[in-house]
Amino acid sequence: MIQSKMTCPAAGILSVLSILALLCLGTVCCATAQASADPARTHCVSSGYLYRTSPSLNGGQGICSFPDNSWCDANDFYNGSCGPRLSPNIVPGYAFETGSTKAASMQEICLTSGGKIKSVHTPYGDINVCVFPDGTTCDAKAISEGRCGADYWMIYAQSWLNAP
Amino acid sequence: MKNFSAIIALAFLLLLSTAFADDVSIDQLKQTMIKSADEVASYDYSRMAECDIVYRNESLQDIFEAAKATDGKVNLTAKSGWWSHQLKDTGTREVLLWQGYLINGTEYWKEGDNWTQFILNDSQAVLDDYNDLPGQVELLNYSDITITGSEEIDGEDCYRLTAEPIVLIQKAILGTQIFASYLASPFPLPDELDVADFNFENTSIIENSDVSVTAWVSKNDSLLKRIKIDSSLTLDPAILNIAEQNFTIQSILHETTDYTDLGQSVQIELPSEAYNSSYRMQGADWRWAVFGLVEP
Repeated sequence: MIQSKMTCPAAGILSVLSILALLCLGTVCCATAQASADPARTHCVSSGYLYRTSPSLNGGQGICSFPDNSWCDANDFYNGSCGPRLSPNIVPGYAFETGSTKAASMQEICLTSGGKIKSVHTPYGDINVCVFPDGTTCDAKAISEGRCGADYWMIYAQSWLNAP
Repeated sequence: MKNFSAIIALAFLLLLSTAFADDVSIDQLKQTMIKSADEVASYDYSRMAECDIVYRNESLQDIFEAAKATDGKVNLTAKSGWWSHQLKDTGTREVLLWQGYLINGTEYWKEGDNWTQFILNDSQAVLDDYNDLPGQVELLNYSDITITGSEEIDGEDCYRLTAEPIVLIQKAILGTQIFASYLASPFPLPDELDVADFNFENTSIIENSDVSVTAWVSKNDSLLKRIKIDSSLTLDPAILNIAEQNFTIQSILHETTDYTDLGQSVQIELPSEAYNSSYRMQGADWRWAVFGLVEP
């Protein structure tokens, strides 16, 4: 059920490293100090959301994206003048799971195809796999994105590492 | 001559029956493992995970070492669960503590001395997360299994199995291990890895890695008693098929889980101080991500 803990399907590893730099943990941290300059970015990622920049969004200024695909200007989120539309007191990943139409769609597609969803343990958390009647398998998250057959490992990986 | 032919025929039949029995036993074993795990309503488990990552280039050699010890209890009848992690950063000697409780449809986390309460919309899904055993059995179910011997675990006679997970699962493990390796890296994450169209197939990652599983399953009731997962990975620009200055990252992860008191009475009690917990939406310490995310 690791999807339930995902918050945003994309990168942000440098932001994680910026937290690392702030913590200043030994020699490892020192090498990553270059990534710690933007407190808005750090605040976004450490809150469990996705920081990104895009020329077509927000005039190219950094944004903080939330699980429902809404977003705020990163500085506005940092200043508290803008925030996610989440129920209070619920960790973002949980809210994503319970409120996500994509999660329901994935389950629906798998089950209506005669498949079964299996949660499989890995050392990095469980992954959901849809097992079709002919024995073929597909990552459940890839199904929801219409990308069954594609490798979805990277989305998993980045989401895990960008999550709270 | 007649006797010789009979002996040959008998030997052939024995060989055939043995081979057939092996095929059947593995298939049957998978089925009975799943059934047994589904029928277990309570158990304890303990897990030890170790992570070593070595970074090298022409001018430096860094190492990150950490270990995570986990204890857990599950009581599906009472719809409750508990896990406790202790993460030790070997380099800094810092120790992080993290506990999770699921009681009466509410989840509580204790990080250090701080309690956090989560009100859940779907507590059954969270209970499924706490229920550790089925996911491990499914890992074996979606692996190519060989029975390699017999050993005793806690005085119980067990099959010793070696397993190779299907490629989808291997990639899920290795993909995350790549990014987990970069968490403590003195080398910046390459741009090629920071875009979603990085193609695993165009790399030599599989050839330069190993994901292996060893499991011990009771001969008596087919319950999983112990499972060990080893994953090793070597990265450099050639393996990743990217244009970068030369470097090497070697990452090794070992995880061993023991299941005990299967089907026995398991009590999970929430400490009284948890009821004074605050609500919070902060992130966790980054080092937990070396072993995955926010879960055991």
